[in-house]
Amino acid sequence: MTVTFWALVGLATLAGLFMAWSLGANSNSPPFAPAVGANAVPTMRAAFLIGVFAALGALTQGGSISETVGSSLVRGATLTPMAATAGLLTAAAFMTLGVYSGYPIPAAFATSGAVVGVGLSLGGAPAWDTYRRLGTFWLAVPFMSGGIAYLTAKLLRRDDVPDAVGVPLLAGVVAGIVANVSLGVVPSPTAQGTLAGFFSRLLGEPAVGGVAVVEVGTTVAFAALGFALVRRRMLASVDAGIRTFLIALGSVVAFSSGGSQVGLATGPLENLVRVELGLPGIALLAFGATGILAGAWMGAPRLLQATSREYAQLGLRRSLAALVPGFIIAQLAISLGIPISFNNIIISGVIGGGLAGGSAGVSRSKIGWTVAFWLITLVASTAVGFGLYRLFAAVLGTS
Amino acid sequence: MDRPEVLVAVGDPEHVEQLVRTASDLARVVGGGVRIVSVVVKSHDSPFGVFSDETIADRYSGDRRAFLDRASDVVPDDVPVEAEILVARSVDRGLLRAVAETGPAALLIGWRARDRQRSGVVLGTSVDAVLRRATCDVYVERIGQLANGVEAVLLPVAGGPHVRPAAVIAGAVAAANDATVTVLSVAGPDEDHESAAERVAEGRAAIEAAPGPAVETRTVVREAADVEDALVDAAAAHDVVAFGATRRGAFRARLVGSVPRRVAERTNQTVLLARAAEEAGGPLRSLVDRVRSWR
Repeated sequence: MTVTFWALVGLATLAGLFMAWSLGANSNSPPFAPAVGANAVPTMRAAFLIGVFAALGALTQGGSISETVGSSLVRGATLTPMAATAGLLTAAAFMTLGVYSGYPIPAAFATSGAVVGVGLSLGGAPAWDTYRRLGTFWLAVPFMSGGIAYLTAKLLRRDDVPDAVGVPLLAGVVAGIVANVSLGVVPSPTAQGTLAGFFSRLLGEPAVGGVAVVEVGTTVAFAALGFALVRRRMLASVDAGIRTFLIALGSVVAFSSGGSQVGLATGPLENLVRVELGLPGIALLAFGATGILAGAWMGAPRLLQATSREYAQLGLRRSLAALVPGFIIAQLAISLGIPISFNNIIISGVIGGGLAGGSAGVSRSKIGWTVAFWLITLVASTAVGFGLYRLFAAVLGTS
Repeated sequence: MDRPEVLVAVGDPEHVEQLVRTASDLARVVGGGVRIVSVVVKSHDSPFGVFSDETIADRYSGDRRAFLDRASDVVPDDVPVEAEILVARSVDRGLLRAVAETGPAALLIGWRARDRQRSGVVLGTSVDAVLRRATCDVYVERIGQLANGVEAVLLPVAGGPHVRPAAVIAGAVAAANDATVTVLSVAGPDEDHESAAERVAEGRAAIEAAPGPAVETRTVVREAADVEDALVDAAAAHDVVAFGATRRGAFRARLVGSVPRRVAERTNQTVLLARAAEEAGGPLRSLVDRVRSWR
């Protein structure tokens, strides 16, 4: 363990913390913006909740994406401390560039590209199967998110479905999914277990005709509970019911956002922390969660104030319609271990919800530019990561 | 509008009347109209950034349309007025684009004193950027009390290209209120009386050359150990102070000048800072701006 090694560990830690901080500060305002816009919760309390839920999500759900980023993007090479530093510095530089230039730089693309770049520079081979998986998912995100938002908004707009039925129904769907999200804290034979799976194992995993009845039963019970709770509030007061659901939905979306984002900051450090330093994975996630918490508390109030007004004008139905896919897709990505940009999902959701009302009013050229910047980020971060590692290796000697 | 325009940027409903009134005074002397603009900031990080500018202006700009209508009502009937909502990634980008597209005679923006606290920022990020780059005369009005019943306008002069636009605004405000303009030059401890007197004469000539009706002008040359203190004293006896940005020098001084900035901080009067069109950023700067505003 040389001085260089520890210097690199320090630098990588700082870069990782910066990444976690900026993820917490920049991508966590949408979950609570509709609730703030509807005056269901004050800005500062919303920012506090965002930080807490995002950090909890990072801690309990962050493992899968962290692992993908850390070990599945390149074959035949493990990220050395120097490579992790180069990768994180590259990703952090792109994020900073985004903040200062105002250009849309998605963290998922910047980090994935940077890690691929340094991995290839280390002599690894491209993991084509992983890229195909990521590429397919990324391409499907706008359609999934837009589609779910469209259907949700359509459901909520229907005159024959009263709000006191439509909103509780949505709450039921969300609660049913909550029973099936993978959590690191649920005891399970695998790293992360679901609540439905936990209850099933508790009762000896009974199955009827190949269907795990307890899992299904738990899901249904959760859904019924979610439906009943929101329904009861709605019947007392439609306004209060919607507010309750907005806050509950905001909380699970913030939780999912933390779980899907933290891996972008901790992934490159996986090998360094777990193998070289011999620390448990949860320590790494706790580190990332702390960064996200700090970022959310410091950055979210400003962003919440800026975006909540728009969600208020978007209307309650379309706000809900934009958040529901955010939750579903983030959870799907976490279960598949796929890094995603949370903002991309929300953007597609907002557009999809808008289309349900007739015309979305989106600008083709703005969408074109946004997509172009995503691609540029992916390619450029790969190139910069590749070059930066080479530079480090030349200056410091290989390690 | 075919006639020269005065572009006035408004954001906060509380300060609209003050800014629009000054813009109207200026428009009247240049024989033009007022174009009131309000910038809706939409970053690309915002999910709402993907909507078209028209959609954002129509549906997601809050009560800004109503606010612009109220602002238009402040403009006197003899001055033509238009109002529009702009969508941009930042206030300064929106304003610079509006200047580039409409080529106004002047741009008027407000400045709240509390913005100056941030380090490296002279008057607030947006105001600084506009002062540096807008290719027309720029006026910055310190947001404060409404200058009701203006009787005396102070025009401190220290030479340089910005005296011209400062004289234009001093003349315009004075003409609208039948007020007197005092052209003041203060000779510091290591300066002689003659050069201060020359500057006052230049200032008077600038007032006379400014468009609009002739206004009553008097000139004062003062010698003082501390220029800043002398200006603060003089400002107290006037309702409005119109400064030209001072000569080029250090970065900060180039934008506004340290003396006008400090005097503005020490008085409660309405303060206007003027920056001449010809002193906008050089060719490299404008090239960079064009690339940045390309999207």
